[in-house]
Amino acid sequence: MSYEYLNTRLRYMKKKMLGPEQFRSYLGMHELDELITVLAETDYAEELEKSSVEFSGYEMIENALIQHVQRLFSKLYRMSFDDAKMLTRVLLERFEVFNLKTILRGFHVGNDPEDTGHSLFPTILYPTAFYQELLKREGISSVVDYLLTVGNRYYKPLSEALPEYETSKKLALLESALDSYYFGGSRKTLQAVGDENAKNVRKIIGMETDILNMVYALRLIESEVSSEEKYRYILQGGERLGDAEVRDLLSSSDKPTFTRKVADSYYGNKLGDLAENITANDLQEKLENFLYQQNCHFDPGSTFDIHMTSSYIWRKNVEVTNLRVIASGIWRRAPQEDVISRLIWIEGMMPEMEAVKGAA
Amino acid sequence: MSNRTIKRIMLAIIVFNVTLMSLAVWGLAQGATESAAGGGLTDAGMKTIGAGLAFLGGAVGTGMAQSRIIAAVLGAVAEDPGQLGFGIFLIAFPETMLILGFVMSFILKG
Repeated sequence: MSYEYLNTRLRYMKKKMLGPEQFRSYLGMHELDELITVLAETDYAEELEKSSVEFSGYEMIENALIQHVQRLFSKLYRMSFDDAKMLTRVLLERFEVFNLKTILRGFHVGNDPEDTGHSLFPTILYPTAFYQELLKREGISSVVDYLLTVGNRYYKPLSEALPEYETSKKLALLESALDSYYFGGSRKTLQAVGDENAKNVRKIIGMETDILNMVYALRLIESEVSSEEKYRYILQGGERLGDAEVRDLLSSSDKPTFTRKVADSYYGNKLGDLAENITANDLQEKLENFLYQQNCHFDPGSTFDIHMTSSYIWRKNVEVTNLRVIASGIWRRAPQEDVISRLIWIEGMMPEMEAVKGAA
Repeated sequence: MSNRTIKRIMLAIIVFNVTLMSLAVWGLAQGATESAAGGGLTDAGMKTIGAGLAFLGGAVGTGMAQSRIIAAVLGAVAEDPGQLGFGIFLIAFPETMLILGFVMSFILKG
């Protein structure tokens, strides 16, 4: 089979996605039943029906969203072939790493495992039961042991970083080990494929690497870490920022120096004006928003390559995340400004934010 | 639309193309035999080779177009079986190139 087959099917799947008008109407809802009724007329109908047998209210929507993503991503993975399958796997594996990091962070700060479970993104490469088992563990070392027991490949980097984490209690050690392993492994896979499609996926991965490095650098500047140790956690393989550029960012003496350096880089043009005393969290939000915008629109309409698969995965991620935010907002009776601030605003997928704010 | 029906349609298209191709090869072989009997490459022989090439160009072009169209149509039918009719039309559309090549080869042969 070829990309023509895969991309034609994806076009159909993309047509079934929710549009700005639908999101605008969901944002005006005050009851979960209203949301369930309108979602039952969309592509989510099948999962909502199945979910209604066992759950009700917010749990029903949450469960339906998880099943929906798993159905579509499994379908996408099944439809892919040869090199496209390898590239799709690289793109999907990002969510597995995100989930593993979320679980580790949850144990690190002593979160309620149930709350951590709600923050996980539905994935297909590792089953839901795998994450449920991880959440039942007693702590980080127990999580690492479980990964070894089930033969999960992320056991290796985590077990190497664990002794140092146990003495220093620096979560960055574990997160960096996971990221390095994923990005390094992905780069090797993409190098083995070696064609234009692999280069395109590499761009996506590389941009994410840049973003992680920039946020990491600002966090260290915020914590005033000056030891040479900070250079250890630089992720290799950035798209626009090489090792030298990241080292230069890390060596910034203060925030204004850091923001000036970022402003002079490729990302400076893309992010617009940055406040001199921007916090790492704000920078992360800005950069992630940029990443979402880029990757959701990473589809020049070509039928013969990986662009459509990549943008579909990112768009579905945004769609489900936003639905979760809206449903959770209605359920918790959260003020609409809070819901609006937590949504991912992608042009063409979501209504104009200002218009929604005005209506609210 | 079952996979079996789709396979049958694909088989029919392949058989049609192979038949046309065989006719062209047969024509080319005949022309070559005639020119060999005459002791050199005659005008008739040149025309036959030209006719064969005209047909071959159409056939290769059709094959290249159809390989992609068939993959896309299979994808569309897998998502929406109602698209089969339009899909078959799209698959058959590049056959016009083959028919043009076929007509051209007849014109060349006189």
